[in-house]
Amino acid sequence: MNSKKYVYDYDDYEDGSKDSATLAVEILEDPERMTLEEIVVGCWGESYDNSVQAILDMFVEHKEKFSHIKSLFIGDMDYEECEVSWIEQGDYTKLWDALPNLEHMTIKGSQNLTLGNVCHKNLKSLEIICGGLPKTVLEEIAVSNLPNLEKLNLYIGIEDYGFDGDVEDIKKIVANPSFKKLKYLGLGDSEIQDDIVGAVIESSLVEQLDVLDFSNGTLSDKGGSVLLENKDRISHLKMLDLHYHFLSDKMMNELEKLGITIDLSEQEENDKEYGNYPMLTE
Amino acid sequence: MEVVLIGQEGTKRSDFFKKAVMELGHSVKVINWVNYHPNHIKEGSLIKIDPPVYTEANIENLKEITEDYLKALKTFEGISGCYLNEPSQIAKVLDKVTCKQLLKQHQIPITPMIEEKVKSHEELQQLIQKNKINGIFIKPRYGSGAAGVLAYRYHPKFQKEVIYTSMALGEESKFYNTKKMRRVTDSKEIGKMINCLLKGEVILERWVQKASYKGLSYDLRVVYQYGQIDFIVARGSKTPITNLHLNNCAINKASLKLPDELVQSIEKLCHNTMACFEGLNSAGIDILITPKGKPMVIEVNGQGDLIYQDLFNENRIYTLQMIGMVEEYGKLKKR
Repeated sequence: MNSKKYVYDYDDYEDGSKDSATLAVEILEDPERMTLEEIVVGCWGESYDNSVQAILDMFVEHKEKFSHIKSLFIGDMDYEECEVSWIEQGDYTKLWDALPNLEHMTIKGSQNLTLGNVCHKNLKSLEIICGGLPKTVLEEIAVSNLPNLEKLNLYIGIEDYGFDGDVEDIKKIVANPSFKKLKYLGLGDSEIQDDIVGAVIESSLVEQLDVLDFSNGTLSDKGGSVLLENKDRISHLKMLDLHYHFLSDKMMNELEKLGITIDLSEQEENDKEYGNYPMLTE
Repeated sequence: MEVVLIGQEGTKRSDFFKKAVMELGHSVKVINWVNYHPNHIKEGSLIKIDPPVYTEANIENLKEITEDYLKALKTFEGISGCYLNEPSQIAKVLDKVTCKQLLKQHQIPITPMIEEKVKSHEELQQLIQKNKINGIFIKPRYGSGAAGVLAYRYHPKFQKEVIYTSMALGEESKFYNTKKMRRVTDSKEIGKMINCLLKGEVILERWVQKASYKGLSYDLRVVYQYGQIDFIVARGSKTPITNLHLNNCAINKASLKLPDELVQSIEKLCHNTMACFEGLNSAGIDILITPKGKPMVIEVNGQGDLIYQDLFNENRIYTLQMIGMVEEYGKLKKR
């Protein structure tokens, strides 16, 4: 896929003259724009101090110039550029209609994130990477209409960084009737990872999946036991991704006997002093 | 021709330097710092000075330790010889503020120093808010390694802050340096750490983002000696502080596939940097590469030659130090 990343580094925005509005103009005026299939938007200056909205609005206002775009990644930056929980996201409500050929959407950061009414007939993957996904966004996904969605990967996060939902919100997501083509379900990076495993494993959605991803969260032997108890419901999986976890050696051995491909890398030590945290929070 | 190493017998520095010297057909006399006296050095010797070894990890003792070392370096005044690095230059680069000011005067691209003085956590927050600064590194003005270093971010709107550091709170509420990086978000602990550091002399630098490789931010430790780059190790980290002894990892330079133009820029940068320190023939120069490929000097280490990736392979750095000193000695003799 012909892809291009638009990003400011320190030298670009040191004098304070560059932000998401100026980056929006640069993207719009880039002569390469028409040849691209994927646009990646990185650090847009002080991304903790000005939101990405100017760029999202630009895509909508000039939708005829971006209607060919198949893939968008908004917020591709690491902690060096901006703490993920500080990235000022925006309102994506109008974007879905503006980009009818969009197949892949990746969003990083959840501060002030709104998806709106998510209806898109061509979207194949939706991924949100953050330290805390708000209840409002979880609800938007639960009622979304994405008939061709094949991959849904959400970093649920922790309360301190924006997750104000609960396991009931997760149950609503896996009950979304439009997810008929979903093959990859990722609900990870959570401080209630064990509960999420329990909520998901009971849903009929599991039966159609190839990949179940509970990685990067505080998965413990409690969640591991649920997986073992429901081994018949996951025996068809091509991959069970549990990397970054707090499972004991004994539980890991038991899970390896399931006979499915399973990622048990990055076993973390229980932190008795500060408690266990998911991989990405701040 | 006598070769003298002032350092510590039995350390990797002395063992591998001795090995390099002996493989070139010479012998070296090691004088331990604890036994050192200027009278122990013959006039006209080839002299290498290694840093003293400290077992004390308490950050609050850093100032005292550094003052003792600077005094010891002064005792070499009047001892003429062929130095790998003149003691006065070692002392100069030990002072991060003076070093950065000198580089700035010579228009060497550097990670920017913040000149404004702050004396407390609160004042630091005000500085950040006033100048809209993305992040700040606070380092002791004197000292090397990552002792007492912290990377700090403050978000005035959300009143959120975070530090990345290898410091920890020990007994009697004293801070000490651990060998592990941690991230702290508790404001009380952050305030205590910053106030502790700001009691002493520090250098404040803007946090400039580094290029990344496979999810790790990295910078380069370039060992530059006698006018050439002798070794480069890329230091990758999931945190802003990349010192290799902090559970970070060395990245094979070849894997980075640095463009030729960038390598040439780095060479030129090192050459111009070393030109600011006459009498410094060997330095470990820490270089940051921005995501867009611009190199800048983070700091200059006058004794930054201990690189395990070289020690346990070709031992090239120490070998070239000895070759360089012998050549210089030859030139001095001819004059």
